[in-house]
Amino acid sequence: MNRLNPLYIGVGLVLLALLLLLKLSSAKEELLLAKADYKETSLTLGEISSLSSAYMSKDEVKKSLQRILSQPSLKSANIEQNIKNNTFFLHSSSMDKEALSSLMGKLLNGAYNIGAFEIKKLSENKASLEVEIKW
Amino acid sequence: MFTKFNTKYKTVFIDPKSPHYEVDEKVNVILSPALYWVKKLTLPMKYVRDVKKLLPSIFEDVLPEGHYSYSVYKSGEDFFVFAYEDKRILDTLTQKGIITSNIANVYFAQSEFEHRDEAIEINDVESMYFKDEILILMPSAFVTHSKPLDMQEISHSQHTIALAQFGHIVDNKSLIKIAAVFVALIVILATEWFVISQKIAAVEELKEALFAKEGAKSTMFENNAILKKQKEIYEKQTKLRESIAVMLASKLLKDETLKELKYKNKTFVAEFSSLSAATINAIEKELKSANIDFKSSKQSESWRVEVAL
Repeated sequence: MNRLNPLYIGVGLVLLALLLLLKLSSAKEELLLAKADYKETSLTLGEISSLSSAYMSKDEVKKSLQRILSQPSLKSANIEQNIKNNTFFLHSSSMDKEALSSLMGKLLNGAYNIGAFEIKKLSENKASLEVEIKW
Repeated sequence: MFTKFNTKYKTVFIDPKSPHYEVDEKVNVILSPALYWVKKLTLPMKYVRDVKKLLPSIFEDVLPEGHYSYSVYKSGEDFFVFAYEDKRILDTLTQKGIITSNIANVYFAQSEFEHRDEAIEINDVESMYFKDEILILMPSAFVTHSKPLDMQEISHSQHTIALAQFGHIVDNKSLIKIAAVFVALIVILATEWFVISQKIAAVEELKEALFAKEGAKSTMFENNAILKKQKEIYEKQTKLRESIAVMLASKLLKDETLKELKYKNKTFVAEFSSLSAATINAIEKELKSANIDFKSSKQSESWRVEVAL
């Protein structure tokens, strides 16, 4: 009677099977959560990536604005440029409406994060302009 | 009826008429002939394993109804075959005060008292002796010469049996089959668990690779905060452009003027002068159709529209 009681072996096998069932069940749940988490993370990071590229960075803003402002139609508008912290300021106390229309068209159609602006009509052909572009 | 041997354990001779005795240590058990059936056979077989297969059929017509286990050993050219009921033996042992966990080895009296010429008295009324090499029980009154049971002279054989505690409920083959099913189930479950664990690790690795690729912050809390901020910017910029588009698209009459466009502190303002009611209605209609919430006010010649972004 020195041999191991079959009852103990049976109970051991049943307990081991139950333990594995529990482990398997929680592992399946964990896998579903991990997959859902990966999907959500992927979506979030994808959105961040696409939204980050929706607006220009500091260097891109600088280069792009320099290119726009160097155009002959805007050169005569005497637009002042100023950079402070994360903002690019444009100011013109008086510019003609063609130049204003050209500049605003480019700013509104471009990937600029416009923080603030003010356009005031001075006369039939003239207006003042203030724009803040952030990055 | 206990006798101490020169072995590791004490030995107990168990017969249905044995006295009750409390045992609190492991003991060897010798079964009285009253607890088993035995036959001596000469068979055209060489090995015990071949005979084992035949055991149930050997006892088929002899045994009363019950759940029997079988045993066999070879002595010379002869086979000694045994049939016994595990439950009956275990019940007898329990009745005599020997619990299962205290049983070291179980022997048949047949093998342990071999080659005794004299009868052995096992209690006041019964003796056992060998007849045609089979140990049998008989009333002591029929025996002329007998000597008391003396365990000192016995050295144990190798012929032990293992009592099946549940043999009367499920036979060994069924137990092995059930155990095999459970083992197979355990292997399947363990394999699946391992595979799923690997998949989880793979998903985690993919996630880490994604973080590295996108250059994201280390926690999703930070990333979600960044996303929220970027969405706000995107929505405001989109709404700002839509609002400006509506204002610039408005068809003004000759004397009607757009005086000012302003965006500051999350508010977009457009100020017109000398607008007719029809133009005001047209602009308001356009704002509504673009789903832009606005507030408008009129002061003398000026008409002002405010859009909160």
